[in-house]
Amino acid sequence: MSFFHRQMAWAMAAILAVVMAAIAATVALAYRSFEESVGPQVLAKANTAGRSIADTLALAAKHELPLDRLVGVEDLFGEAQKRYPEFARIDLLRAGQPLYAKGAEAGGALVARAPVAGYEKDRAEIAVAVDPAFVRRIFQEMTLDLVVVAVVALFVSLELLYFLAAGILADLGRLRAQLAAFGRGAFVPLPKPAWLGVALGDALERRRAAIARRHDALAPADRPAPGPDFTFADTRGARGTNDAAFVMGAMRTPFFLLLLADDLSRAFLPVFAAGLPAGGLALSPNLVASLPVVVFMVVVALSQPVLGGWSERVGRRKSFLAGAGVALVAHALSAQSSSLPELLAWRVAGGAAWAIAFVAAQGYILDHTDSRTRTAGLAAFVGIIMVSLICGPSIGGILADGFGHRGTLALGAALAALGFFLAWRRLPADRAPAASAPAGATKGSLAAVLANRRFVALLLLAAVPAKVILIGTCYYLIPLYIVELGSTAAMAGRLIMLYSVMMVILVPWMAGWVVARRAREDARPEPAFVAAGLALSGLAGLAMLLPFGVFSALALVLLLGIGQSLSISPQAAMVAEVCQREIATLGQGAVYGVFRLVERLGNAAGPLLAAILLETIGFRNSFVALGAGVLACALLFAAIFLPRGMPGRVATQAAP
Amino acid sequence: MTSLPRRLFWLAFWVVGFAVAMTGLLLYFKYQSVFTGLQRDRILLVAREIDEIAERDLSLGQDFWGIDTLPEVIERRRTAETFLQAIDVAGPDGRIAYASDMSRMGSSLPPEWMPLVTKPAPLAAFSPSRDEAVVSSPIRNGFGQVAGYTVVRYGRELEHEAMAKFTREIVFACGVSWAGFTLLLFALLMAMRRRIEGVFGRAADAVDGTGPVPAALAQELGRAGERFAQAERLLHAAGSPR
Repeated sequence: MSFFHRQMAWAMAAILAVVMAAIAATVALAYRSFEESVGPQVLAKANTAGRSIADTLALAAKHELPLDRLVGVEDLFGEAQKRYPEFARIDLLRAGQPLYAKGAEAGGALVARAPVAGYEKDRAEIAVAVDPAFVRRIFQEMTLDLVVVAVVALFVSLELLYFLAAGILADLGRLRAQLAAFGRGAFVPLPKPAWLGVALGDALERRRAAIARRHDALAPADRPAPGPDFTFADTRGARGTNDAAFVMGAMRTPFFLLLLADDLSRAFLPVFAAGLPAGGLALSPNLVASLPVVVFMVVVALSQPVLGGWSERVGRRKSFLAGAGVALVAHALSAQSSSLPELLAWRVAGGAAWAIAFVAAQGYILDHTDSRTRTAGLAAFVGIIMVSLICGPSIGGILADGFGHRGTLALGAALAALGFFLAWRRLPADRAPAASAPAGATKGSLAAVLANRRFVALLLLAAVPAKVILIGTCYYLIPLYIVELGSTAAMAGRLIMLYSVMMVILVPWMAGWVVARRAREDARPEPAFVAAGLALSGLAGLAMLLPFGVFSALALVLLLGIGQSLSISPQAAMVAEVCQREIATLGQGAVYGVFRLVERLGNAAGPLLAAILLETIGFRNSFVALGAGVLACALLFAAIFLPRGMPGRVATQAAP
Repeated sequence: MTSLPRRLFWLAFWVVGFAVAMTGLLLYFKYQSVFTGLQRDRILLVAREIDEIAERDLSLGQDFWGIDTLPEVIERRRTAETFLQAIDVAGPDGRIAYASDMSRMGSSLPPEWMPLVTKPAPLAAFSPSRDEAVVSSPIRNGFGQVAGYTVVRYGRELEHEAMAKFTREIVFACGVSWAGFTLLLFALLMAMRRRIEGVFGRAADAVDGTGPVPAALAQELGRAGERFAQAERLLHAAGSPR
């Protein structure tokens, strides 16, 4: 690890540690207040129940029935316990001694007492003991929720850090670039650091300028010819502000804000839709609830091939701004929707906005990376999507509790507006003349791309199965299975969040591994990573054969997280290698558009296939069937791609 | 303060501030949801008790509009909980059959409540105003059909008091965390900056030829230094004076 990487790693680690400590301290202080408040509230509920039972018994006093000759008191207590299982024991006490009781003794329980009217001389009272395990369960649930809050705050803070510290991090990058360029003998002027290492940057530039001056002072005939060892003049054209790190840094925050604007509503959109008048559409409540998500996914999937070429033609900056503008309008008007058709119309616009921004952001990465850095660039891209997916639904659910559904949608519009503003201020102008870009994917070009059998194999054996098992198990079967096991929907939510957190941490790490292997062994390791990732995803489904309930689901999520993080970026990077010819003629936007379209159809097919399997063979067999299917795809994929290697390798080796 | 330390201070201030403020905001909403949830459960207990009495009488064949035991139960339950404002039992059309406030009997529930009260869910809970909340649950006859609704209105003073107390506590906690951890992060960043600038300063001296190459940058600086020297030799050989 170089000095610069070490310093960046140390700085990030220090900031992360302090941010985590700050969040932990805040949560710990708040936890005390939670604890002080929840106990009395649970006790108040027990009091209400106690008074209700005491009222019923008071009817017996009106008929002057002696307390010790009442019948059916235990049954009355038993019924109350059946309705409210958090009451561990209910007693009818006479002078403090139990006369009738139901339930086991619970040590350390909170006990609510209510006197029984009419039996004052017996000093009769009802004692309702709250099960200590119930209070513990509330605290455990709350603790897990607070951990979720802390994780969300941490990830959003990190995005803020990338935004605020961009200048300082860029300085380290500039110094590294200066040293690397001069170390290769490229004595060309490069941007100097502005905040950190200014003296070193100046010293390097002074030394370079002195050499350049001596070089320029020589008669042209005497000047050493530029060769592989030395370059004295910059012949690469304008670079400076358009380098990959700068572009990705400029794109990161606006893109994150646009994704977050949409993900905020994920948690409640079905409920919001179900509460709107259907406007004459005769649909079942379940269908109504699913419609906003379905139309969004369909628009996103179908628009990908068209948008790829369009984004290249009009330019990444313009198309990103267009996406942000449409998102702003779509979110603002979704918040004002008064009927389901209206909401659906704005969700269509929101889907289009999301797809436009997605294609433009992906285009920025593809335009500014080469075959060596593409995997790492795409990993950063996936990382932004995953961070938004972690934070959006969790914050959105909590904010909707406080601000309401419409308020949270309006907040999404505000985030989109901020994303638009930052994109307008920070995104660089496009590098290549937009007019020369090829048109979008037509029917013919779609057929041309799909005529590439290796591309079709990549789609059908890797991209689609990976999405089918991910969406089918993680987002469809697991939530149902967890509730079926008797656990809560919140637990399913946490498992899904765990998957997203794993992706954020592992995807860049795995991508770094791919890049390192390429550099070290001069190999193309992407197919091996995709095959291994698919195999692990398949094994994840088979993990449900383990008889450990929720822990089997946890094993599934862990294996799926590792598997998907291994394959997701190399798989996208393989498209450029497998489709070199098609990219040259149709443009990479169109080719990636087709890739994303088919991949997203896998997204839609996942829950459908899982639902059919669940209906016919039950939970466990559905998991196993999906896992076995993906494992078979992994073997076929390995058989096709591993022995022959990538076509790009041959081309590279053949090049002079 | 030079510009980089100032920048580092604001970096620490905003990053820690954002993390703490967001944690505080999310905790505020989480607390509100836990507190109101527990309170709603408590009110629901009252509503369900009334439901059960009504359902028992309906299953014995009594008419919904003639359940004798309900008025007394309603009144007893309302007075037992100080923050309960009113209990109404209404028919499926929203017309009130029994009420803790006798004057409301025969009148109708507010029409804007009806979609919320009648929606097909085990319970409905909503807040028509800042100071009032409503919990409603359906009463079913022996055939499982909805015969009416128990609608309990209660004041939100307890919630407001609890939220105000929690807000004070969370603001204090956030303030302490923000100040303390901003200073800690700033101190850490300054220490790192001093260390890095030290290495870069020594490296600048090495580039200028006035000092040794620092070990931390030996690899990167060594390569560049070698190239500089080779280029200078090449230019000298081509006739450029030193």
